Formats: sequence, C-alpha cells, structure tokens
Amino acid sequence: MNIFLAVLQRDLKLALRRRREVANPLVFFIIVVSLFPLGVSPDRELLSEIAPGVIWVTALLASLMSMDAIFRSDYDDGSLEQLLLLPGSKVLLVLAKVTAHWISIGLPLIIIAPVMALLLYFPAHAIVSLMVTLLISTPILSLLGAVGVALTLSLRTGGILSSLLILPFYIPVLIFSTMAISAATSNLPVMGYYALLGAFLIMSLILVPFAVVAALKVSHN
Amino acid sequence: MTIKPNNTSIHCLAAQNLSCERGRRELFSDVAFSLNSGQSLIVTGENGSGKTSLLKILTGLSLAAEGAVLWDQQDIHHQAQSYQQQLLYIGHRAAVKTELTVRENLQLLLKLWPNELAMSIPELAACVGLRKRLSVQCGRLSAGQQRRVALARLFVAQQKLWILDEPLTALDVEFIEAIEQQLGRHLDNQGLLVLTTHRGIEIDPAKLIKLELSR
Repeated sequence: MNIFLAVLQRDLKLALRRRREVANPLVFFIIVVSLFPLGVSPDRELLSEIAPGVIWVTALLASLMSMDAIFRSDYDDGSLEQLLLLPGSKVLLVLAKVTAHWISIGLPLIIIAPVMALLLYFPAHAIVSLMVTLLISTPILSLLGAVGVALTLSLRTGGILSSLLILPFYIPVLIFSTMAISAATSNLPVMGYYALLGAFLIMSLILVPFAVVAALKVSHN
Repeated sequence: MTIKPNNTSIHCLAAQNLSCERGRRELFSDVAFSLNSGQSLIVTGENGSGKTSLLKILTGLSLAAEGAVLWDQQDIHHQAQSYQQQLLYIGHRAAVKTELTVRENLQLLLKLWPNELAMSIPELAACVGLRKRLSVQCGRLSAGQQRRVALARLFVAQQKLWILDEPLTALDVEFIEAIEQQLGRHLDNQGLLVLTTHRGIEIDPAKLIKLELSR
C-alpha cells in the first residue's frame, strides 16, 4: 500500500507542475462542446436532443488524447524502468498511476460537464445521470487507455496506434452511458445501465492492472 | 516483504551463455561470468556492442534470447521479489524528474527505495554537492548535476548488487573521485558491482573482472 500512496502522491505533484499538459484535454472539451451550438444550430430542441452524445463523445476524445501522458514522460526519462524494479507489487504501482491520471484528467471533466451541459440545453432532470455515468465510466476509460499506451510505449508512432487499439473497447462504455442518459431524459429506469457500467468498472479494476504490468514489461524488453 | 538483509552473507551473480538479439541482429552470444561478493565486473565494448542490453538483462528488465541469469544459484525470474530487494540499477537515463526540485527528487528516492542510513535530505544533498541547490528545479540543473541527483542513491543504498550503466558520464573529476570511493566502500562491504564505462575507473584490480563484448 505504501508504494500506492507514494506513487500516487508523486504523480499528482507532477501533474500540478505540468498544469498546461493537464489543462489541454479540459480546454479541448470546453471548446468542442461550446462550438456545437454555433456550428450545428442554436435550436433548443435539436441541441438538447444531441447533448448527451456530444458531451460523451467529447469527454471520451479528451480522455483519449490525454492517455499518452500516463506513462510517456516516465518512460522517456528512465523513471518507469526504475519503478518497475521497485520491490513490491507492480499492480499497485499501475493502479496508483491510473488513479493519479484519473484525478488529474477525469475528475475535472466530471466537474465541468454539468456547466457544459447547460450550454446545450441539456434536460436538467437528467444531469444527475450524466454525472453518474461520467463518474463510473471515466475510470474505465483511464484503465483501458493505460493498456494501449503501455503496449505501444516503445514505438515512435505509439499515439495513433494506441488510440486505434483502445477505441473498440471504449465503444461499449460510450453506448451504455449514452443509453443511460437517454433513459433518464425520458424518465425511464436507469439502474440497469448503472449496474452494467459498474460491472465494467469492477472487471477492469481487477483485470486491467495485470494486463498493464505485462504490457509494460513487453515494452521494456 | 521485510526480510532483513544479512550484511555478512555472501552472494553470487552468474550469467550462463547469455545471448541477446535486437531485431534479427545478434548483439552478443555466449556471455558467461560469475561474480561473488566483493567483486566488480566491468563491461567494456564499442558503441552498439550491447553493453546496456546486457545490463538490462542482468536487472531482469529485458529477457535474454538464450541463457539465464542466476542470483545465488537461482534464476532471477523465479525470485523477482527478493532479487529486486537486493538490486540497485541506475541506467544511462537519469530517472530524475525535471519538474521537481532537487529536494523533492531526493525525497522520492528515500521514500521509494529501501535505504539503510537514516540520512536527512540536506545531508544527502551535501554528499552529492547540491546542498545549496535544494530548491532548484532539476530541469534547470546542468547534465552533470542531474546525474549527481540520480547517483545520490549510492550514498544511502543497502542493496547488495549495484548495476550501473555509464555512471560517470558528465561528472567532474572531484565527484568521480567521490563515486569511486563510494564504489570501493561498497565492495569492501561485500557488495557486488557491475558497471559499464568508457573511461578508466579506479577499482582495486584484485577485485576486478573484465568482460569485453565484441561483435
């Protein structure tokens, strides 16, 4: 557990020092969402119709574009090989890095999302479901993304390849999240969707760290 | 997890006909040696002869195409946990976070790695001659000073096996002497040392094994 806390603290401190890098996905999210009323139509009906999809797709892309940061700089300066040589659980190490990444990228997205939702005339009674789906799903995105990044670390064009690798795994998360929101919009029960997303989260929390550790070892070979 | 390393115990690092391939090219083959407590192995060879690859295989980070690395007669991959407890590896990339200050980097070193000496951060910084630079961001330091931050681990390490990849790069003469002294002390304490270097390093010839990698 020590290693978890130490690495978490280290990565959060580094994120604070690299504010620009951390702010990038957030700014991207804000810009893209706010361009929709200008680009598509300011029509209230239409916007509130497409709002869940727009917000979710943008959040997904913002998280995707930030994934590379989770291991890249540690890989480049040799810190990652040092971390892999630490005596102790590599799974906890990976969980700490993913948690730090989620706190610095995922959490700000969740906080800003309701504001952006209002911009798109998002139905007010469904905002809770938007927050809940983001809260459950962004950790899944961070976890899955870590596998792709870890697998492609040693490649020069890793960014594109890892996006292609991860995207298919993101799609179920996207589908169920947007379905939950549309159900909430039409006042239908949503617990089923939450439960499914929760199951995704638990599964990936259990399985993904092992995959990431294996992928990191492959990248260092 | 908390096996207290026995300071007087004798360890042995051995390599058995190691070979390494990069792509389809064979870097080296049939590398074998046996290193006991108190001895050091110096790996030499021209650029691209596979020195760094050999060291990475010895740490267990990469896998050899053939052969095995044994620590106390056991394959290192069968006892990764206890091997890593005994291993200190400093690669040619310094693993110093440039966004953090000298103090924060040293704190991290002390926190993450098992260390024996209860040394405070200023004391440790004084060891590597950075006492007055504690609150400077490492990105603003020179290459040699960054190297010093990385090498600070040598002054608090309790690990028995040190694997150092070009530790003397970018260092000034004075600090090279300090490092040589520290290496000598490590060998006197029955430590094992593996290092690559292009320049000579002063180590008691009686404790020295040389390994030349050639293509």
